[in-house]
Amino acid sequence: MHVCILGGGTAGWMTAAALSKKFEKQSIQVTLVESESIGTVGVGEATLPHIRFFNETLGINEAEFMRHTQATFKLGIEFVDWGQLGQRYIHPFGDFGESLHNIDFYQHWLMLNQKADAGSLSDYAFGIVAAQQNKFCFPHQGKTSLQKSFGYAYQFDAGLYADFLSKFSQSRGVTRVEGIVVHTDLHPDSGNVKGIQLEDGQQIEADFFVDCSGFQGVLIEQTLESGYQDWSQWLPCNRAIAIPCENKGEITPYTRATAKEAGWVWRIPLQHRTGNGHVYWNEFTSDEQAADTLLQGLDGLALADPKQLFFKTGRRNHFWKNNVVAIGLSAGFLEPLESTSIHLIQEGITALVELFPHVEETSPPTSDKTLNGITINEKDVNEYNARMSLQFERVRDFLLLHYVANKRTDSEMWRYFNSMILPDSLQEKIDLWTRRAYIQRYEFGAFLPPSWLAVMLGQNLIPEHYDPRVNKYQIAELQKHAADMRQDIAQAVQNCMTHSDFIKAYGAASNTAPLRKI
Amino acid sequence: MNKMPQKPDNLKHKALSRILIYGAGIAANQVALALSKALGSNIELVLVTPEQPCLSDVLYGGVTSPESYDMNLRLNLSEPELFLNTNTSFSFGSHYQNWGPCKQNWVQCHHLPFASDNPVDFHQLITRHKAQLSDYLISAIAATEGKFAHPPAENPSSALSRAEYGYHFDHHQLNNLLTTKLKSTKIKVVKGIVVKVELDDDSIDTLTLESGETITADLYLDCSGINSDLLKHLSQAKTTFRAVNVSYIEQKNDNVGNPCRALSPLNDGWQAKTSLRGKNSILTVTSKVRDSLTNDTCLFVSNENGIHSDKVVLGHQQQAWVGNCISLGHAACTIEPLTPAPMKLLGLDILRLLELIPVDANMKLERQEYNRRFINDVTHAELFNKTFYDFRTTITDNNEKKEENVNQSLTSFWQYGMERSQLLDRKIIQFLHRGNLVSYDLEPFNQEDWAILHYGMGRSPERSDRLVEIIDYKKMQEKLDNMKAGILHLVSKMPPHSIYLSKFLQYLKDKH
Repeated sequence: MHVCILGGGTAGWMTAAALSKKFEKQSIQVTLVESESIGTVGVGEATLPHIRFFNETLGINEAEFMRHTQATFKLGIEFVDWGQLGQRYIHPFGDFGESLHNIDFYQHWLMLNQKADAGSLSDYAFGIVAAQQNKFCFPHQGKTSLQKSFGYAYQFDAGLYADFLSKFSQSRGVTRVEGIVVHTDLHPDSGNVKGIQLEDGQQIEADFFVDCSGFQGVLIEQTLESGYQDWSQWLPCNRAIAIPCENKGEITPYTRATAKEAGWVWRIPLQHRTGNGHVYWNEFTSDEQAADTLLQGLDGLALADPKQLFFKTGRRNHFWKNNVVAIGLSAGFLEPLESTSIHLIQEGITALVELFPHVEETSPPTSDKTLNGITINEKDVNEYNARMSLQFERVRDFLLLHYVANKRTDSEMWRYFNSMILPDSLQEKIDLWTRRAYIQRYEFGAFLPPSWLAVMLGQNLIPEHYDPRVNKYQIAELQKHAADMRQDIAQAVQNCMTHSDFIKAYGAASNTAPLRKI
Repeated sequence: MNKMPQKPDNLKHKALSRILIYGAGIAANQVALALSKALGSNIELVLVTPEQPCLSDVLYGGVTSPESYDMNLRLNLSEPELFLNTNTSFSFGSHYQNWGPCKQNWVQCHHLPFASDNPVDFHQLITRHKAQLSDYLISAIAATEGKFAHPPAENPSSALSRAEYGYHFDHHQLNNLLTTKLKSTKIKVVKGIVVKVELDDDSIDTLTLESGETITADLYLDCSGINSDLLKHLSQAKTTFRAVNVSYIEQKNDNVGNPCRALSPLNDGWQAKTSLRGKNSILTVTSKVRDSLTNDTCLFVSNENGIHSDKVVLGHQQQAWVGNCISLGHAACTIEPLTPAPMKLLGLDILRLLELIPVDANMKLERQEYNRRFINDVTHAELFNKTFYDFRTTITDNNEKKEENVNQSLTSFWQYGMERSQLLDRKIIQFLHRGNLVSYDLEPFNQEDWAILHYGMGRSPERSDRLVEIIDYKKMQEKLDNMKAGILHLVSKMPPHSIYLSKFLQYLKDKH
């Protein structure tokens, strides 16, 4: 069986790496077609903890990967000026405190906070306390359950990650072809993609295609016309401008997202540079003003010219159509406010591996589309599309939460969000929270209750009531528990190394750009 | 961090200060105990309980699943207390015998996910190696051999540590124990039957008892059983599954039997035999409904032949919470006691209630969320139950016709699964197609339950996950053979259920 991946970048090489590793003992040939003349977007540089599992299943050594990709650790995202101007909070990977009497700790805290000094809820999240002090350690190094109850991810150079995975994949038999697609051939009967023709005349035929060609979706859209669901009514930002700059000061173990008048600015510190970008809505700011906003906030000297990007938030109608699966930007786009771009690539790859077409040894059922003995089964296609639809929708709602869970009215964009009619699914969640600090749960999705808690409380959505069950407990008892928890975390963080020292001690410091403190 | 906002007095709703629970059975008592433990003294709890026994408690099937251990702790009911005060026995699951047109035999056992250092789910290996999943389910093997031991929490490498267990219980003895426990709480117990329900718009205003006493509350919890004596005054909108005839008898035994219910089919129904200490209970469910009973009021009678109802309409409220009245247990949903679903749903009702106790008289959002979760829970519990009547074992066009013919030969009781649903289709089709276990959010029955059910019903995936090909066939076969032999050896060392029970009870008596 021959699989052709169209497009390099993070999506293409993550897919190639996964297929080459997962199916290494099977007769699946993988070819990846990319062109150095087509730049990759390369702004998805911060990740979620799930990426660690992806690397682990590939057998990638963590320190080696970090050295190669100039990676730093990430304990969460600091959101500045989202709730209101001058305010900041960190959305950590992990929960807040430990439940008491079968009730989530934050409910107790809400009650305590009304009646006594209970500190900030942030004091009960190891990841936040460590991040605020630029400290880091591994969860498994914690001595108590509270000290272990956090996660971490990475901030890395996506281009270097793609390069790392490119070497990984090619060492496992993936063939890299340099070229630009100029024509696509279809099977007249089935409508499946038969092959692609490159600018230099090369013809590449394959049984199955993974479209990682970016926003344009060469196969999934330009060829198979999947169609696009436009979500810009919910998330209207449609441009970004990105620029790297010199590092200055301590390298923080967290990403920062700062809300602006017509969008937001990201800051992602790596070992060798800091990645910056301004995601904005051109309805309410010009490209020049957006660039100025970005440049004014840089930590250090710019290291390249700004790169302009255009996009429309949304998703393909079909992520998988015929014998083509779209992964990465070709599948859809949601702004990287919560570092979900690489996560959605990973979800797409996981689902694809699980639902990968089979090679039939006998005559396949007549209802299936057959191509060179490969069966593209509608059941797999439908299942894949159902799973990815759910993932995209749930991420969309969580991102939208950031824009609407606040009282900012100081610019036209914020007034637009203030007057927005929300999807029912999101409105319900917000209403339940503001009513009684209740968080609606689901099982399948990137953001579980602690994430919703972090954002809603962080952005001043203060509930009117808390869980009435907490009224049963004595304040003194709860205060003692709370104080013990804060102490447990504070002491442990105090004993941690600084983020930079940890990277060096772990052997993850790149040789080409040693960490330095200015 | 900002303080929570304080509403002006004129916009404040009256805070919740009194909750009234109505009912005499397991649901009412469990709900009362759970609330008593969870809530502070600022909320008064009143239990109005008719003095007659709640006969419809037989519909719980006398069986629980593993989460009942934790639920009991929420009622301040420990396992030792349960065993010392009732004739409860252990349950590794239910043994379905000669089930369906292909006469399948399997134990729908309780089991944790298989510990695996492979990149694929264990059942995918079963498919590749054409093995039997049941050979690797220690709880299933032990159950049919009549053996039992507590899973060793301190020895995770033991195969037995992957087993889980629930209980077999006598509804009458359990209810008596719960009633006794109420005495050590602050719950105000009022004996009486509600004869009049006065409404105020879409809420209950006052209840009048047979004695003439009137009672009011801020929140009413209808645990009165299948006839939902309170909620019916606010809503009669129900979703019906089907109507059945239920009978329950008890027979003495000299020794407790296997730690699993034995379910066997009848021409127009099924029968479950459950072994307790001192007696067996036999529950029979058939389609022999008396057609002359046109209304849906369910009547249970008790005589020397046992407990019986000629017509039980299985189904659920379309809204479990209406106005200021919440139905729980059978008042909310009566589901076929074919599996532990009835007790599972009662547990979920209690958890849902605890998380959504209203703070004041404005209950709209809590009600909406409660009903959303309720529908999700009953839909998926019924989906699981209905799968026992879905005899699809292939998804190819050729065999669908053959299976249709087989289904037509079944009696109407056994054709229950022929009415298909998209939710179930997706699960069965994906499993048969490639062994994928499709899950929906927060289902009551987990992936292991579904995997055991699919294999038990004779379903085998057409192919295994491609990733199994990474794993060396010979080495894995050897590993599977060793696992199977290891489990058989371990089960052979386990004590018989009856002996384990008597030693366990002796230990508890000595300790307490």
